[in-house]
Amino acid sequence: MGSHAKSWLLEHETAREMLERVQAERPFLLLPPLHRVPIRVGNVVELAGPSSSSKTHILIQAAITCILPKQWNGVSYGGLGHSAMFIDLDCRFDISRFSELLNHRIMEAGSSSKVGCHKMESEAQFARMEHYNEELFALCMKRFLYTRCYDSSEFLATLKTLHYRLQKERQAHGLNVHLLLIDSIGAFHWLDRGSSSFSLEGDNRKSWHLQNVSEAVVQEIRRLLLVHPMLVMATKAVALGNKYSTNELTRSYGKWPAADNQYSRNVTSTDQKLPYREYMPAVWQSFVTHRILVRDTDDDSVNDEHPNNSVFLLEWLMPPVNSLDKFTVTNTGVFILS
Amino acid sequence: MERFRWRHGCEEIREKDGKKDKGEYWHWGFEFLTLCFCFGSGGQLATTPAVKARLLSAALFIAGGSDHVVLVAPYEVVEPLVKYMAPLKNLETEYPIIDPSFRKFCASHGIFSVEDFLIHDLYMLAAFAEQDISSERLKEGITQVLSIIDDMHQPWWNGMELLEDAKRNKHVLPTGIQGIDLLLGGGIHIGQLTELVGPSSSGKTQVCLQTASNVASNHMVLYIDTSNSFSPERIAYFLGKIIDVASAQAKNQILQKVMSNILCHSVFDIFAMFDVLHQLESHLRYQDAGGCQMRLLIVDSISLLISPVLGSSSTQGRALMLSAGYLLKKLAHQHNLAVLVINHTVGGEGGCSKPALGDSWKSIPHSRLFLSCVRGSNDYNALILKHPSMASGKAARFVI
Repeated sequence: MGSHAKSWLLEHETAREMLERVQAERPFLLLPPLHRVPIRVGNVVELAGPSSSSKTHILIQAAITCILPKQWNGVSYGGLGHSAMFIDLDCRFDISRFSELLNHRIMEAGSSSKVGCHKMESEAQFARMEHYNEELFALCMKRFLYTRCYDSSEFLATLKTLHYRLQKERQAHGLNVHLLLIDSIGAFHWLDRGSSSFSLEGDNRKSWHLQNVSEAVVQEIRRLLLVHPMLVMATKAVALGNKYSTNELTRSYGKWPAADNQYSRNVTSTDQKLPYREYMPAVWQSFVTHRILVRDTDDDSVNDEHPNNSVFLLEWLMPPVNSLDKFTVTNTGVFILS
Repeated sequence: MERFRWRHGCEEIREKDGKKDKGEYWHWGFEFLTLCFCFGSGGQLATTPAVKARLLSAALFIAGGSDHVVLVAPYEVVEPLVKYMAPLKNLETEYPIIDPSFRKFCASHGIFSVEDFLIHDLYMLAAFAEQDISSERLKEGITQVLSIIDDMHQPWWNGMELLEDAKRNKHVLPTGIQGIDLLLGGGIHIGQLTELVGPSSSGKTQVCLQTASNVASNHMVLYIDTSNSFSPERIAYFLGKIIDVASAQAKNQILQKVMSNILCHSVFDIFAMFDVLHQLESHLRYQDAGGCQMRLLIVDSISLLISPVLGSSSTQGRALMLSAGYLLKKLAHQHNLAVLVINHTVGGEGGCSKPALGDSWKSIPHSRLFLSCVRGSNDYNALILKHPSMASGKAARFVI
């Protein structure tokens, strides 16, 4: 009895050691443009924004950073070297755009590492570089796992069998999934709301309606995070209120003079009230640990370098950061303006 | 002894001693109980196929005790029913582990169909199974159900496989209109849903007809027409400009052949469109790989079909709209079609027009183009509202 109690008191590691271990195993990630607040594995980040506000591009950027290795063949890519899983509930993912961005990142890193060293001397070197780039491209693309779901049943079926799939991947390829991307989480909201419930045959039979489906989804993801620690990023399509509305048509045709506009477009949500109407059920809202709002703006003055691309505003709602980040989407990915 | 077999659609309903017999059951008189549900496209029940399937499944649970059930329903209702909502009893023949004791265990936890497994906590269920006497068998049953569930979702792909599929199958179809092709980087994409939105007489139907005539030279086209806007004369006119043959007779021959590649269906409500799309799906599933493939599906215009249901009851209408959208995207991706839909505009704030069908529709199409006519000329303007790889706001002029 005495020895049992004593073994309880024996320390395993000091607080400093534990902090070091946790920071090594679960490092803080600073993924631009989400670099204001450090996020780590186990967090659930929600990216809310109106349609066509580059939310999917931010997910793609995060996925590319995840699948690129830290270093490869002497070139540093600054990635994490893990797998990323993409569950496409919107069914709108464009793999060509993804591969374009990945290629640009690889070539950019490759070319920037040559600065300072002597330039490519021969064609053979150039060809070898190309070959390495292609090899790396194939390696990274194999680390990107994708599926799509056409309704909630398929989504739940995917989540329930995900644990076994991940175990299989780990055994077969030694791949560790670090990132789970869901685009977009509210896709089947109206479909499930329309599904009325008819519970027969027993009082304990759960009916198929929005509340039960959302609870099941959150429960499955939570269970998954226990066994396979990952960072979860989900997009959510919202409709912003009048204060923030940018009618995409007026951007090209209508010339609202700046003085006319009562509400400046670059306003932050300072009060507790959310700038959009929240429609996700409470069980999902309490599951989210970080919340971001993205929207586009027609502030053309900042956009001299990239005249053809729209500028987007990013705002942290949870934890609240009292500033707006401006970024734009180019061929090489998300590019922070300020 | 006759056994009930699930059949899709309105085919033969029962098998007697190996012979398929449709009319014989009438001789039985009152010896069997028939539950017959008919969900036609008359629109009495203005709701999604999934909800209809749920209604049917509820009714079938009531009928679960009877020996014979006659099921008359459209395919899109029966399919989810058979897949997810059928009582577990039906799986016993194929998976003998789902025996009465397993079903009793599941029933005690409120699980009666495969769909119920999806919203229940399977780990808790396994924990309960652990405490039972026949825990091994029960856990085997749960594992079997999990493997059934594994067949219910789309497969996982990795990036390379996805890219291979895109390169091999998901090409770009040029519309034949220079301005639009340049704006979109080649044309409309196979596997994607492109929306053309604009006020009336802004060239939307003309763009569709021109695209149809351009694609029909090599592939088949399905034109779903809701407002009697399909015009064979215009198609012939567009084809006349591209067919470059000397003799009028040869030209006529080619014209006939190409025009026979365009199938036109008139539909006037959304349920008729669901019918057409499901017929298309079964046709595409069983068509052979060679020959002329269907590559373009045009819906002119989808807003005319959806607006009536959207107005009446908000949740059902939106659910119907989203179901239609997902069905179109599924067809586009799985059968390598380019889908082109037409939407009209409604008045927005400040007097300027905005696309109809509201905010929930915005996330359905892959690309959205706003068309308008330029006053004082024959030109039209196309503006990108959304595109997977182009910035919104890019515009171009085009002529038809």
